[in-house]
Amino acid sequence: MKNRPLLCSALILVVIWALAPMAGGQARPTSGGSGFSAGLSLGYLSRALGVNDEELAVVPKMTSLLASFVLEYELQPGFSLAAYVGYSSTKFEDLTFRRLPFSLEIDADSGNMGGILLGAEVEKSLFEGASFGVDVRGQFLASLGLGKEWPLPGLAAEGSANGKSTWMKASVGPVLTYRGWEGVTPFLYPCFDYLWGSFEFEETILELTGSETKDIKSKSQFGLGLGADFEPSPSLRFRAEAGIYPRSGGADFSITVQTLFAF
Amino acid sequence: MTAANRKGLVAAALLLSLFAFGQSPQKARVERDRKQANPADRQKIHSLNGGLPLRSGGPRFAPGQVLIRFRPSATAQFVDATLAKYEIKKIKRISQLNLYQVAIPASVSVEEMAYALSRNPDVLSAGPNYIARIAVTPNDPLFRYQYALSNTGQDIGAPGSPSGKSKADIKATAGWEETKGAADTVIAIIDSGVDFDHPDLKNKIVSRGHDFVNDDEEATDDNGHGTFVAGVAAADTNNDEGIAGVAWNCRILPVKVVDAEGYAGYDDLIDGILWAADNGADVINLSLGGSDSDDSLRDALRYANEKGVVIAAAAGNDGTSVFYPAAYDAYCLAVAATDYNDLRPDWSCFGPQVDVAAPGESVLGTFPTYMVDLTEYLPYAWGDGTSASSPHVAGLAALIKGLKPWLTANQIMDVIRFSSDDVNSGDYSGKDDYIGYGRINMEKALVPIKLSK
Repeated sequence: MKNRPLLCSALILVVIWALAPMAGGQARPTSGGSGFSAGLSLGYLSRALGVNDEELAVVPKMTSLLASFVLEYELQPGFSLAAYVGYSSTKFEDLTFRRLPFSLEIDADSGNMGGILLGAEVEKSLFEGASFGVDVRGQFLASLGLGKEWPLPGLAAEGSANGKSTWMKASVGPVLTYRGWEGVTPFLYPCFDYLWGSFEFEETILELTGSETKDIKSKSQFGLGLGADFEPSPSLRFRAEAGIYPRSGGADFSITVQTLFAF
Repeated sequence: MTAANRKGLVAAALLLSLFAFGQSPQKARVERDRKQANPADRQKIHSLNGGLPLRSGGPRFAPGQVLIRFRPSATAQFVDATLAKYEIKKIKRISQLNLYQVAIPASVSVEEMAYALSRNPDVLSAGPNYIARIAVTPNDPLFRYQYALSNTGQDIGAPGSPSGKSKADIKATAGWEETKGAADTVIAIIDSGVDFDHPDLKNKIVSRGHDFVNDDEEATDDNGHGTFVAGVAAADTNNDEGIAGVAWNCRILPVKVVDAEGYAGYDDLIDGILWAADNGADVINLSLGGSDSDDSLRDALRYANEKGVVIAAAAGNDGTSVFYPAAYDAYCLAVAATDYNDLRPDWSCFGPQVDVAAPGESVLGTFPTYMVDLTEYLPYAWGDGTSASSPHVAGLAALIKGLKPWLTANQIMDVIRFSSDDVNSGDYSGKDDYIGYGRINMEKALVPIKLSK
C-alpha cells in the first residue's frame, strides 16, 4: 500500500494517545498553568543499516538531522504526552540498487533527502523517591520522505532517478532520574530502540523505466541515553541527551537538544 | 533442405552474404614470427596474479586499518599520546602529509574508529585505508591485441600494425569488475557453426547445436565465420589461452544456417532463429544479413523477442542502408562498426535503424583449428566488418541478462543503447544514422551509477 508508512505512523500515534488516560500516576513537578508546553527539538541520529536481509561487504549507513516543533501536554502530574511535527534531512551511504535497469549507488556525495517528521512521546512517572525517580518513556518518530530527483549522468539519453525514503523509529524504556539538584535533573535512559523503513527508487530514461524498493532496518536495537533536563524557571525547560546504540562491529549515536516553554 | 528446394530458394529469395572480414576477404592469421603470442614466446608471458582471476569482490579497504592525517602543528609526542588514547598502533608514517597508517583494536570497526577520530579537532581527516586494484585483466595471451576490449593505444598486431586511440574501446575490463557473466546464460551464434575442438571454445559450448544446412545435430563450422564470431562474443577467458571473450562466463549455442561458401537462405535463417529461441538461447547473434526484407524473417525475430531473447544483428558492410534482419529495429539491435580510433569505417551500413556501434575493424577472433596449419599459425584471425561488431553487443547483452535476468529483452536493448558513448558527437550529436546512440560502453551498462547531488 502506498500510504502504509503514513497509516502506520497515524495508528501508533492514536494508540499512544488512547493509552494515555489508562495510566495512573505519581506526582511530578509541573511547570505551567494550562498543562501545555511548546518548544523546539533538534536532533541527530546515525544508524548502520541492514538491507533486505542481504549480506553486504560494506554496511550501509544513514544519518539524519531532525528539527521539529513540540507540543507537550501534561495530563496529570508526572504524566505527559508530546507531539512532534517537523522536518528531517536524511543522508544514506553505501546503498546500491541493482534491480533497476541501470544500477544506482547512493553514497556520501549523493546529498540529503528531506522528509516530513511526525512523532509522539509519552512519559509517565512510576516511582518518585526523595532524590531518585523512575519514569517510563516511549517515543515514536516517522520521517515521511518527500522524494528527491537525481539526473543520471553520462548516458546517451536524458534520464533521472527519483528516490524516496520513509523511516520510522520507536524507542521505549525506563528513565532513571536524579532529582537531588535544584534546576538540573540528570537521567539515564536504557531503551529498546529500533529504526525501520524503506527506500524506493524509480528510474526513467525515455521509455525505459524501473523501480526498486529496499527495506531498511537498524542493526542496533538497544541503546543507552544519557542526558539532563535544565529548568532555569518553572516555565522553561531545556533537555540535552546523547545516546549510544551498540551493534556488531561498532555503535550508532544520537543527540537531541530540546527546549520547552510552559504556558 | 533438399537440393531442389535450395536452388529454388536461391533463385526466389536472397542469399545472405556474410559480413565477415569487411569488403575484401582477409583472413589475417597470427604469424609465429611476427607476434609475441607464438607458442614459444607464450611460454614467456607471465600470468597476472599467478594465473588466477583478479577478483573484484575483495574488500574495499584494509581490515583493521585507518589512515589518519593530523594537523601540521601536531607534534610526534602529541600524536603518540592521541594514538595511545584510542589504543591504536602505528604502522607507518608518511611525514610529508603527517599521515599515519595505524592498526585499530579488533573490538572497533574501521568506520567507527574513523568517525571517532575525525571528530578530534587535531585530526584533519581519518578514513579507511582503501584498497586500489588494477582493473580485471584476463590472462589470455592475445588479450593485448584486443583493443576493442581494452585500448591503451597499443600496437594491435593486425596487418599494417595499426595502433589506436587510448580508451577507444568498449570498457570491458571495467565492466568485468561488476560481472563476468553467468554460466547459464546462453548466446546462440546463428552462423556457419563453430569449431567444437577450438581450445578457446570447447569448454564454452552448450551442445552440438543444430545444422540447418545439412539437417543434422552437428553445427560444425566449414566456413570459419561462425567460429570467429563465437570467440568474439564468448571465448574462454582467463584460461591462459588465446583471446578473451566479451561474455567471460557465458556459453555458446551453435546454430548453423550458413554454408561453406558463406551463404544462407532465409528459410534456414528463420528456422535457426526459431530453433534458438526454443532451445535455451538468452541472446542471439546474427552476423549476417541480406538487402531485402521478408515478413517471415521479421516474425521470427518478433517470436524470439517476445520470448525474451535479446538479438544483436550486424548492420552490414556495404556502406549502404541497413541490411535485414538488422533493419527490423523493433526486435533487435542493429550494430554498426567503429574502429580503434572510435571512428566509423565508411563501409559500415547506416540508417535510422542503427542502434549502436562496436569495434569492427582489426578485431581478433577465434578461427577453426582445422582451417589453419597449426605448425605455422595460431587458430585466431583478425577480421573487419559489422560481423565482428555484433558479437561484442551480443556479449554485453548476455552479461546484462546474467546480472539482471528479470529485465525484458527490450529493456536490455535500451540499457545497451543508452549506455553507449556518443563518440561522433562532434559531427552528429545524439542518436544518428551512422553509429546510433554510440559505441557501446560496458562500464556504463553494468557498473552502478553514482548519484551526486
